[in-house]
Amino acid sequence: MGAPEQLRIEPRQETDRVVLALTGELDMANAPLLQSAVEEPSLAGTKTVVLDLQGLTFLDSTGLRIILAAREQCWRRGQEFAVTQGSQQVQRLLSVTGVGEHLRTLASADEVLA
Amino acid sequence: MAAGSTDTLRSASRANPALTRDGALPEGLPRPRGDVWEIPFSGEDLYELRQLVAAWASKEALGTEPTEELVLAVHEIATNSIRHGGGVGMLRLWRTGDELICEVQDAGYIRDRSVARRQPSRVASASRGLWITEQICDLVEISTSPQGSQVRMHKRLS
Repeated sequence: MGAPEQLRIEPRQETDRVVLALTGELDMANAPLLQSAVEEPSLAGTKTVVLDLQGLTFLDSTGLRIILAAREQCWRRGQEFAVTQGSQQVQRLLSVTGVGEHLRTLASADEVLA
Repeated sequence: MAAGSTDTLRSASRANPALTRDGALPEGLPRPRGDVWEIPFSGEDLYELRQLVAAWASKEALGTEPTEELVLAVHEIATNSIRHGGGVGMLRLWRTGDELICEVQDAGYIRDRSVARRQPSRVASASRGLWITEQICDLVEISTSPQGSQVRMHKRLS
């Protein structure tokens, strides 16, 4: 039932960045999970935070707002922030809202920020 | 989430005393003719609501992309019901000749109806469910009063 278990977040520590891989659906019910994952103190020391959206099958406006808040938080910590391309549904929400063109977007989580 | 039963209507009337006995708003949008599937929902039901709309739309042969749009639209409006519309709502689904129609009714009052049409700022647009819905549906009809609101979303089948 619309519960947090609809979303899985797996952090992956790499040389100078952390990739948070999101799997499932990000909506009002589980957006706080992402919020706390980004606030996690262990993320503070890394140079770059990447949200890997490739496994995300559904994103709503609340989730999108949390992604933007995550970016703000990373910027405040002096970190780079990027996302990877999500599913068709995710891409459409990003383009309808116009947010997509202002988010640094990697083709995949393997791509390194230039 | 039983559909269309009298219990359903009774519980909706309890949640919103302004509803008439048949579950309609006194001065709302005209009642649809024919079969209407009614699903009451609350905050716990969003995930199931999405599954249900997706299954219904694809059974009615709506394409993948418009189905995803309709699911997002219903989800956004139902989320508004949960946040601002008294925490519960009623979803109605029906089909006309060439359209699928999803209506969300709740006890909320949309004081500024221009929120559906006015282009929000970039950051705010992420939180404007009604505006997003307007962008991805073929037609959105809104009826709102202090007694409650109906948001009726249309999606063409071809």
